[in-house]
Amino acid sequence: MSQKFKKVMNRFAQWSVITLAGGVVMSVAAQDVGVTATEILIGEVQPMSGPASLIGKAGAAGSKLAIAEINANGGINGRKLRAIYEDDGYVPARSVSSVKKLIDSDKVFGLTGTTGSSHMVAMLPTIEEAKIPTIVHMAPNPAVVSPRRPTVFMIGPDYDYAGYVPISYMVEKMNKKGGKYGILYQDDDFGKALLAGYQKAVKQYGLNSVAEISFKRGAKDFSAEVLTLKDKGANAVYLGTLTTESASIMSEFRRLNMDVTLGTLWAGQLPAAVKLAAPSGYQYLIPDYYASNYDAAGLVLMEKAKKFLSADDYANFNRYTVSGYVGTLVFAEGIRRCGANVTRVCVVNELNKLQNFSTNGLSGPVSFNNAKAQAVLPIKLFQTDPASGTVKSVTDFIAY
Amino acid sequence: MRSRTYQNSYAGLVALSNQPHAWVWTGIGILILALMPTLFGSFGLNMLTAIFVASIGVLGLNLLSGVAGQISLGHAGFLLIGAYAQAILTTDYKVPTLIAIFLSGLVAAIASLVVGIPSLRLKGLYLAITTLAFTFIVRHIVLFAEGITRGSAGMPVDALSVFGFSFKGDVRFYYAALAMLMLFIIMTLNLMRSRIGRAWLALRDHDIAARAMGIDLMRYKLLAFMVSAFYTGVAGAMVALQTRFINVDTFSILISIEALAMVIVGGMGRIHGAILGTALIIFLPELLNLGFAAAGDNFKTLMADRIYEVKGMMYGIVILLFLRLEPEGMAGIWRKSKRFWVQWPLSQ
Repeated sequence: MSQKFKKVMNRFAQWSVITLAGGVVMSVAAQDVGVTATEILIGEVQPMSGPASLIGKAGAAGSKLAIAEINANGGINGRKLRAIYEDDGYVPARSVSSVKKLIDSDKVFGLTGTTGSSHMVAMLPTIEEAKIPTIVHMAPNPAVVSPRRPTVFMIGPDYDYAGYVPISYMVEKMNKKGGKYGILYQDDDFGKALLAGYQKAVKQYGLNSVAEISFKRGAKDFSAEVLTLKDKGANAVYLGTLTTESASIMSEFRRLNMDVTLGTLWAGQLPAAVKLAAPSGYQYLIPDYYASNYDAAGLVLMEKAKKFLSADDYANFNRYTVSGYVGTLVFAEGIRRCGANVTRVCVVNELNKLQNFSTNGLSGPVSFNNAKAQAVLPIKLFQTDPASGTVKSVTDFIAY
Repeated sequence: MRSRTYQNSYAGLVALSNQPHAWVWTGIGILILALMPTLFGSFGLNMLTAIFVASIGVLGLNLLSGVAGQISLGHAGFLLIGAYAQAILTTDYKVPTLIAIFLSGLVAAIASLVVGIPSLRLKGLYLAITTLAFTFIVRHIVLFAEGITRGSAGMPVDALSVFGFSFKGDVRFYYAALAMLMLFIIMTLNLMRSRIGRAWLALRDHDIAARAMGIDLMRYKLLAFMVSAFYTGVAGAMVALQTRFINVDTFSILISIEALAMVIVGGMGRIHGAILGTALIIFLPELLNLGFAAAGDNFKTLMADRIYEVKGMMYGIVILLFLRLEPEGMAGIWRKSKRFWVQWPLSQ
């Protein structure tokens, strides 16, 4: 009886030790939401339908490309990355609903796609409440990082750089110091940031600014504004406009036969924008913090895209693909630095320490180790070639 | 088997419900809805809240289009007015959030006179285009009146708070939206059995005959627009309180089409139809997602970024199917199912 009792006790002790050891191992390898032994799940909210689908589909394609490449190289410390993409149709209310779905229902570990500026502002309370690591790489709205949100990281300079850099180039490299300058800008925070950059350049170089004309969002006819610019004799103009507006303004310039040097912001280098504006024949300047499709780094990325993306996704390739790719790479780096024990707290800590992370020429080095956790990237300037419908770089990435 | 009930007093005829079982089932329904936060997480509650909020607006559109027979493609405009009124009243004028909800409805109701007055002379397609134009005008006014509305930058919205109790958070706001929907259902039920409701029905069925019976067409048409806009304005205020951030992008023209789809799919003129229709249309993308998931991972991935494009197409298909197969909408399906159950085993 006692022998049998001893045997049972021994067996019990053995199982206790095994269970305890298992528990210890399990607790050591305890992971956060969205992380399993083999996979890390991330989420993106992108405008994949509606007026901004050009941006959202390209951004998602960049993320898919980065994930495919990472997984083809064995994943991150043995774990594969997987992403769920939610379409918000570029409607803030849907953005909120989508991010709630990703966090609550899909249980993603982090977010690498955060749609447009106002949409991100609408999603912020949900993101802050969930304390979920988030990379904002497509619409660098200053309101996202001011005040600082502990788990939110932003890639990209403020919009005022987009207003400053082309004017600075016109003065320093195109001999336009004596020119008559003008700006057309959208009458909102975005446009006012561009105006601030333009005014900074005007003040710095002592330029003659003859017209600062605002227009309401959604405006389609710019004939009066362009006529005013002509009347004032403007011959160097900054267009604080988006894709279709830029093209219609340029065709108005051409109709009035104006000899004018033009600059715009980064959306101007989208292939669709370049093609739309090509008939007017202007070789306008575009600042951007990401490489173009025609840069060496961009071409390498396109080769990878051919290999890893579907034909549909490849067709959507533009600067936002680069943006999605870089954003996902940066997030993956945060995860990689955590080793086997991937938690949200750890990834946030590692991203906070990120300094001079190289993106292989697709942008300047990415650093979040600053008060705002914003990577204010250096800017490269491009110029369009209307004949070929492409852009070429005229400077390297330069910090301003 | 239960036979129909016959009333021998006017009070019995106009009672909200004279059948005890209806109250029991209503109580059970409310209890189930009250328990939902224990079953669903943030996303599920967010969807249910969206259904409650949208249902308030759709009840309003149903009164106008389903009951009074006046077509409107301008309800996105009323929704936008309600949302912005809520944001401006609470942010800039520090009006208590609960009072602001009803004031927002009132602002939308007053704005509805802009389309209500032309409606006295317009019908059908002409009225539809007029109301559609109203939405465009309102969107542009919001963009231009930047000093008041912050233009295209949008506005943050204070959370709902009643006597110091904050309804911030998904669960609390879920209950607030449920309570608001209940209030508007009771209001609608009462409105429908009043002289006004009967006048609207007469107006819908034959306006000339209605006038011959002594119904003041101008008064009741304007009233229909104002009441409908009030509901939609309140829904707009609730949208603002749920999202806590608004800009014009939230209130596209498509919202008016969606709302009309909800009324048609639910069953024109039916209160429970409006709610069922709203639930179906809002759940449609999720139902599609489930369908895609059932079709396999590859198909799901392929359709993941096309869900709203497919959804847009599905509105058309669902409306076509309902018009062809069940013109009474979901309310009709509900009525037939109920009759089948009540008359079983003699049901056909």
